Amino acid sequence: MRKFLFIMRYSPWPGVIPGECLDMAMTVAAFDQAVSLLFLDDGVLQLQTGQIPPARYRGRVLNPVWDALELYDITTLWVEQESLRQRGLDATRLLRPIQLIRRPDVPDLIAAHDRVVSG
Amino acid sequence: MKYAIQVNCGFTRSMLPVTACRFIEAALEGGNEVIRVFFYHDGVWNGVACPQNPCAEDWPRLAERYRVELVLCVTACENRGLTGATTLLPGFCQGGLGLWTDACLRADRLLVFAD
Repeated sequence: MRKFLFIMRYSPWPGVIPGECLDMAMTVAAFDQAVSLLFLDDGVLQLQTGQIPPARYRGRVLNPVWDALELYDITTLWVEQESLRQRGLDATRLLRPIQLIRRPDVPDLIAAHDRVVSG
Repeated sequence: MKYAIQVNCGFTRSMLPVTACRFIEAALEGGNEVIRVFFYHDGVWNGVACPQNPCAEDWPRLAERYRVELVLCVTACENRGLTGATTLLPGFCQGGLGLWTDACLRADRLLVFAD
């Protein structure tokens, strides 16, 4: 079994990239690999509660996908404290319980994985 | 060294596809193996035949000379309106994420070209 880390760096819309990253993570998990997610930069916005996107982006809301992650055994989620703070987000009010990591510790987290995918 | 390569960006935003192309050729010339090149996100634009594509001749040449598999993610294509009617460059094909996972698991190293 290989350890995969997906680094989520993009805001939830207007792009399709966050959804595509999750597709990739779930595909790998379906092949019985260990998958972790790390939210960095604008990627932390994906975790914000109470998002109401403009109507034309409604189809891209990822909330149903988040619920599916546990079915795929993707339970290790990390979020970088500094990215949260820079965007004024409160770690206690995110979509789901998530482990905080400080920026100086991110390189060690990356080094601890066999395959690192940024998107 | 056995490589799996992922290209995430299109040619309109950055020169990374050119870098990827050159890296792949150098790696193969150096006796390494490239299991598969998987184009994801905006990287799928690299497979489109259009005059602005800086690697429009390089990718088909890689595919022909070294038998490198160039796979555009079919879902990423659909998300960007690249349908069956789009003309792809020779050497490219469409495939699913299973092909990417397979390449990742067989390779010694995964290299992602992303901006």
